[in-house]
Amino acid sequence: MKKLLLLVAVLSLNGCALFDAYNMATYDSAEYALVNKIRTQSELSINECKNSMKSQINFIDMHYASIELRNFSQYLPNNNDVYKLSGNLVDLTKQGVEAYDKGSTVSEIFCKFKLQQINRSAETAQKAIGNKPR
Amino acid sequence: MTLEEIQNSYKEVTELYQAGQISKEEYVNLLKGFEVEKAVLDNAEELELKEQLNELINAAITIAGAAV
Repeated sequence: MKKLLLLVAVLSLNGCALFDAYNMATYDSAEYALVNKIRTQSELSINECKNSMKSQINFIDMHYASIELRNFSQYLPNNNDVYKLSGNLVDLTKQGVEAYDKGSTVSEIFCKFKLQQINRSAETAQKAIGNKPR
Repeated sequence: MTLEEIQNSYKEVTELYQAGQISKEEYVNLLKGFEVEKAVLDNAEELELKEQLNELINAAITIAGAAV
């Protein structure tokens, strides 16, 4: 009975949703490794927020990694969802880089909150990327 | 990450700004960050729904295959 209900639920969805879901890109370990790198670096960099110079380098590194993830995911077939998520990570890390680029002193509080934003987002993206079908 | 976590962080940042502990530029930058976080939540949810649907389709195919 449970299996029948499952089948009915699937058949009741529209064709496009079914097609998209059935053909979605499968799990990619390189994609997962890149998002994990961004998450880990944002977690560890919080300890260095007192040092502006180191923090600036940390933000640049995370920005490069997120661009790498975005470019990597872009032309994998049926992978638009990860491309959108990686674009979000590019935006967030860019905001961090820009704060340091302006030359004025960046506060330790700002550094910590921006890293928290990147960390939460990278973890959310990682969870979704890790659940892609094998 | 949940919407509640973003809201709590927003409240904390606003209090710090009102107390003069972060500059206006930093505050605006963080507000833009919260907007991006919300987009991350939406995009991740979309991907997760697709993953669940993919699982359902494959289960349905298995059932249909077994019935033949």
